[in-house]
Order: sequence, then C-alpha cells, then structure tokens
Amino acid sequence: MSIHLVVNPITCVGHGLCAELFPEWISLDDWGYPIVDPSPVPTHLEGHARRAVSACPTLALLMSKHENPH
Amino acid sequence: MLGVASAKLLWYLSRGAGTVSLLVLTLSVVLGIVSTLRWAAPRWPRFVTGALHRNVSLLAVVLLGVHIVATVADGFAPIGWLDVVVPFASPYRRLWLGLGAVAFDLVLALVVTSLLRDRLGYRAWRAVHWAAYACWPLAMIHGLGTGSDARLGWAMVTNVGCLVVVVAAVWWRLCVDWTSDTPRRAVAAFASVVVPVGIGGFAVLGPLAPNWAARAGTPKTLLGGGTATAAPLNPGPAPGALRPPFAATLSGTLVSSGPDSAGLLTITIDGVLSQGSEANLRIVLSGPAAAGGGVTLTRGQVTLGPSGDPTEFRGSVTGLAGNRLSADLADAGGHRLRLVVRLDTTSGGRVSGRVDATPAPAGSGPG
Amino acid sequence: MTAPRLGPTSPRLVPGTRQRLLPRQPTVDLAGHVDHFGPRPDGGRRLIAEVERAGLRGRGGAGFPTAVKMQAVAQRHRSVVVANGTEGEPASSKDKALLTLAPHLVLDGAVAAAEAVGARRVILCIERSAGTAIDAVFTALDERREERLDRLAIQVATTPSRYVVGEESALVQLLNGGEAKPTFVPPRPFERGVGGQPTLVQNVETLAHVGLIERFGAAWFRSVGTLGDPGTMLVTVSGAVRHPGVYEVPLGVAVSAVIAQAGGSSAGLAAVLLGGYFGTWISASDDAVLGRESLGRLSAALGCGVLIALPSGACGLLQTAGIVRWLAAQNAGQCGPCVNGLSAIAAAMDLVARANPGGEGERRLERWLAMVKGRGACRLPDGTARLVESGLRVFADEVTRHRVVGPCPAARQIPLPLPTPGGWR
Repeated sequence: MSIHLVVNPITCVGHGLCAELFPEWISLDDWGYPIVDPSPVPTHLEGHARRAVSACPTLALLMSKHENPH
Repeated sequence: MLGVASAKLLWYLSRGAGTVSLLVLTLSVVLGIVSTLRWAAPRWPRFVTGALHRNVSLLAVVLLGVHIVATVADGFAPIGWLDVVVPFASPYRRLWLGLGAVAFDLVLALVVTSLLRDRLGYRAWRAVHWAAYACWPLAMIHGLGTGSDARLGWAMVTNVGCLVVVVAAVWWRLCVDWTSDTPRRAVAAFASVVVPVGIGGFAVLGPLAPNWAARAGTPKTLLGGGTATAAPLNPGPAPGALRPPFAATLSGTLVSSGPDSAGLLTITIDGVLSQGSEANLRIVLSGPAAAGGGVTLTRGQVTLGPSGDPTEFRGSVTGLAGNRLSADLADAGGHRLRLVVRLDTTSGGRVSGRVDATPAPAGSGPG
Repeated sequence: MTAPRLGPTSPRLVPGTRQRLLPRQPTVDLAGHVDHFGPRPDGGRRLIAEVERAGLRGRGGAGFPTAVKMQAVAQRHRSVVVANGTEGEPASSKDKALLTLAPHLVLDGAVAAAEAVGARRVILCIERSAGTAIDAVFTALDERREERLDRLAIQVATTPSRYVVGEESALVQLLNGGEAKPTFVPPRPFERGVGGQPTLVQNVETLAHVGLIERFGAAWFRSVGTLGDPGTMLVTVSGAVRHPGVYEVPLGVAVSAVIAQAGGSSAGLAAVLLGGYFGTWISASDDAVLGRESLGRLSAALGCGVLIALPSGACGLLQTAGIVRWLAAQNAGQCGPCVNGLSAIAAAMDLVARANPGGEGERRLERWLAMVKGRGACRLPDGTARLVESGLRVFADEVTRHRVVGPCPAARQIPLPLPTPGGWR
C-alpha cells in the first residue's frame, strides 16, 4: 500500500522542518511553505517520510493512503 | 553501618537528581522556546532543535524519576508514593513538597499528551503544552522550598543561572514578534517579570533567611538545630545543641599511654568536630596490648559535647574494627545518639577522620 | 450589486421561448407562484433519476452534475440540504434576483431535493446585506408555514459579506458556528457537513431548476439548450452595455447574442470577463457560445453566469490588476502560499498593467502563478491564477505595449464592484 504525503495548508505555518528532513520530496517556496511531491513515496524513502511527519511542530504534514483529491 | 551509608546515599541522590533535573528541565524549556523562534544556523538546522527538545525532555523525566524514587525510598522524611502525585498530602513541608507534586503531575500530562499527539490532534496537544510554562517555576520553587542547600554557592549559581536563562529566552521570544497576538504577549511579558521577582523574593525571605526548615513545615521530630536543617548533608553540629543526624570531620590528637601496672594500654583521642561551631569528642580506649600492636578493647568511654559542656553526651564504644568505631551515647535528658567514627589518618600523634551521628533507636542505653 | 430587472421591460431573449425561472411579476405570494408555475407534485426519490436524465449541472459556478451530488448524499442517512444563495461574486446578482422574484420556486426545489435525498432540514443562506431578497424569502416562508406546505423544517441563515463565504466548506463551517473560512478537506460536506451530518450544498438557481424538473420533467428541461448543455441559465450582464441586469438565456447561445440583448456596447466590445472574478477573459473575436466544450477550448467556463463587457479602448490588464488586488485581499489568512502568493501576484500584475520595463512583471508572474496553484485549502489561488493567465493571453498585445512603450494612454476603465469585506461570522 503506497503512501502519499499531504500538507494541511491551514495548519502549516511554514516552520520548514519537513524540507530539512526530506529534501528529496519536499522543497520550500519563496515564502517558506512546503511544496510536496504528490506521487506515492517509494519504499526506500518511507523512513524519511515518517520522520518528516513526526517532526512537524504543528502536525501539518500528513501521511495518507490516497492521493489528495486537491 | 551499611544502613546508615545507604540512607545517606538515597538522600544525596534525591537532592542531586532533583538539582540536575531542574537543570535539564530548564534546558528543555529553553529549547522549546527556541523552536518557536525558528532559529537556525548553518550547522544547526531547525529539526535539531525540535529533536533535542524532545530527547532532553525525556531525559528530564528520567532524572525526575530518579529524584522521586530516591526521595520516597529514603525513609528519612515522611514522603510516600501517593505524595508524588497527590499534592499537599505529605506532612513534610506540605506546601513546598506539594508544589513538586503539582509540577510532576503537569510533567506527566505533558509527556502523555506529547506521546499521543497524533491521536489527540494539534490543538488539544498545544492547549496542554502551555502548562510547561507553569511547570518550570513550580519546580524551581519546590526545589528552593524543600531543599537544604539554598545557601550553598553551587545551589545559588544553579538557581539564578536557570532563572536568567529562561527569562532571557522568553524575552527573546517576545521581542521577535511584538505586534501579533498582543494580549497574550502582554500577559507573558508581565509574567516574565513578576515570576522571577517573585521567586527571588521568596528565596530571600524563605530559604535564604534563618530557620527556614522550621518555617517550611519540617516535622519537629526531624528538625536539626538552628540554621542547619535536618538533612544529613549539613555536616557539623549546630551551636548550643547536638541533634542527630549529622556528619562532621574530626581532627585532633591521638595519644597512647601505657602499658600500666595492670598491663593495660590506653589510647586517648581528643578531637574537634568541625563545621559550624565546634564540638569536642573524646574517646578513651583501654585494654591489654594486642599481638600486632594496638589494643584489644575491654573498655571504651566516649564523651561528646560543645565547648561549654564537653561531656554533654556520654556513652561507651559498642564496636571497633580496623579504623572504624561505633558508640552509643546519651545526654542527661535521655536523647540518644549513635556515633560512627572513622579514623582516616593517624601520624605523629595527629588524627583526622569523620564522625556520623544518627538517632539511636529507643531501648538502647549507654553501655 | 446591480439591481434585478423587473417588469415588462425585461427583454425576452429568444422570442417564443418562455422565460422559465424569472416570472414577469414577482411571485412572492403562494397563489401567484402556483398560478405561474403550477402546483408542486408529490416528491420522492425518483427525482434524482429525473434530474440525471435532464443533465442538470450546478449553477453556482463549479458546474458539477447535480444528480451525482444528490446521489452521494442520498446514500447516507440523516442529511441536510443547504440552499446557497450567498452569491459572493460582486458582479453577480442572479441569485438575489431569483430569490426576490421567485422565492417559492427556490423553496420548492430545495424541499424536493431534500425529500429526494432523505434530508429532514433545509437551510437557505443569504448574504446579510441582501435586504430585498431576505424580505421576500421571509414572506414566502410565512405563507408556506400557514399553508403547512412543507413536511420538513426550513431555516434561513444570513451570512457575512465575504468572497469565500460561498465556498462549500466555508459555508458549512459558518453554519456549524465557526467562521466563514474554508476548511481542510477531507471530509467533504456530503460526508460530514452541518452538524456532522451529510450535507447537500446547492446553489439556489440549481434548486429552482430542480423545482421545475420536478413539475415538468427531464424532456421538457432538455427542450431548450443543446445536447451537451441542456436547459437555461441566469446570467448577470454588466460593464459596457446599455441595459445591464439579470437575464435568462438558453445554454449554447452565443456570447455576442447575450451582450446584444443587454443592449450592446456603444463603444464596441474588446473582451468579456466570463464567470465572474473567478472566471476568465475571452476575446470578443473568439465567437464563444455558452457551452462547456466551446468555452473549454478557450480555457474558460460558465462559472456563475457573470458577463462583464470590456469596451474597446479600455485596458484589460488594468481592469485585471484591480480585480486581482481585490481578490488577494479576500483571502481567509489561513494558508501561507495564498496570503503571500496572491499579494505578490497582485504587485507583479500592477507592473504588467502599467509600466513594465524589461518584462520583469511577466517573469515574476510566471514564477508565482505556478507556485500558488493547488496550495491553498480552497480554490482562491487557483481562480486568481487562472484569471491572470487569461488576461495575459487575451490582452497579449497590451502586455507587449506596456513592456516596450509604457502604460495605455488615457485608458477608459469600467467601474467594477469591489466591495469592502465584512466580518467572518
């Protein structure tokens, strides 16, 4: 079952820890907010994905089994 | 004797772990504040602050656990397991100990909500986490109120240092973003002045002022005399009264004389217990000479007292092995004392060592 | 807000085609309503199939197939129907006109939809400042209650004047006691909405069409319009036309015909902003018709039926810049990319609209338009980006001129409604 990373844009306040911990998948825009690759996370990178999710100070980065309909 | 030694160990451990956990708690609070500041440096990315905060907090909890277990296991003060979480139930310095229990309850809440953050949701977690700002000053006041080391240099440095560091971090946080959320920031600014001043004022009027142990609510049976509290960490007897438990260093002279006409050797040790005002200890051992030197004890008399009344306590030796000597003493009022004397060096007639005194159990009398 | 047109001077669009939604005289009283539209038949679940056969799509702006929405809610228990008459688009007044002229038709449709999906409650939402419409609705409700017309409860909720208040999740959050700000989905309103119950949110015009379909059937509905785009729709025409107002038109009609029926422009037509501020520009020379496929080829859509006519001689970029600046101020302050991105885009658009030496404005726009899409909790950034892109495409000549020569000389501007927003509750 593949996992996707999704940002809740309302809860996200742009701390940026996710981009530090998972730069292969997450980059920051011009204002410090994360741009997350919507495709499924490859298995060998899943550990990094989980670390990034648990490091978010506002719990804005979410792991989902489905791609975000957005 | 082993019992005496381990009881001390637990008390020291309790004080030590308590102080270190305050230090580590301070570090955790500061790291938490730095997280909100979004500070980073080339070799210190943001996630390091977050991860450190988490790990330091868990370390603080572990140290807190050691402090709590040592305090309860050490039977000296009447603190039971329930008093750890139920505040103000123990008669030992009810208020100040109780504040520690409150702080611990808050720590429990902080840890549990943080471990279950995913299930709880961000808002619920955040609401509880504000309690951290209450937990820290409570811990410091608890330490000042229940401790006996407040006047000691290292304790003052620790407390003042922690206070300064936390207040500085709070002010850094406030200065960074004055404009938003003004009501909350105003409250924080107000608290960041009132709380340290309050703690400082409390320290000056409380633990740093005379007779704190009694004023803090130490049960009378445990009270040491005068300015020293009952904690055995304070070496030396107080002026005018000798109340166990206490520990002191001994220095004096050792004179051997004899053998006399009956073939008895007499060893007389005259010493002064130092720290605080001085008390005089005299030990007279006599007996036939032993095969390898020294004396086979048949008689041992011990007196202990302040310079005004050097034989206030009298008693006899109850055991002698190597350089260790134990004795049971009592004064005219029936207060009993058990001494353990350890003689460390004896050369050229000078002797130095250590004396530990504990209350003797009822029923033992001067032998 | 342009006043709805009433009375005998309302022009008919296609001679012979009965005006379906808008009666000549307001039908606020029940008798007049029944007289004009006929009585309401017994409702039921069969209605969903009929709506599906009719091919009705939402008239609130998204154009989503209504039957699909109804079906999704019907599968769930204890649902609620929300009739969305908030009409946050400043240039649109069709919903207010409909509620003022034919409130009973809207209520019939809302009740019919509720019975079809198994809902026990209808909440009709109207923007607080729409006094005439609110009065008409309350009068209608009083009469319905007297006649015990409806088997379920109908409530009215007045909403603050905010652009995003009509967004589904924002409306649901407001009705749940919160602020009228969009929420992070999932769950969508049809799963969990008002009071945690599955909620069907439909535009009031859509519900009015449902009311007509219930009476006259799918075949009747399809007798006007085209195969791909059946039925009629309400449009609000404004800008450089002689007779701005609300008109009912069959789908598939040419944009130029609509403009002509609204009196046409005395100064010639350069472009039309179709669909509101959330819509896109189309050039007058595009020969567009009001149909999804035709508009899709122009990267445009029907939206909520707003047509703003831009006269020749006006600078479309300048008009767009004004709209974009206003849109940027409508953000709910929740999502970083929107709050920051839209104001950056507005500033860059100002450059493109005036003096833009070296084309710096376009470079910035290119960067930031890509950066904001899909990154908010609602579609405000996407809509704004789409509007800007259409402006750059349709007014490409002006873009070049501003870059090379300078701003448009003495540009004629049409006044556009840019209301000050109200609160959030």
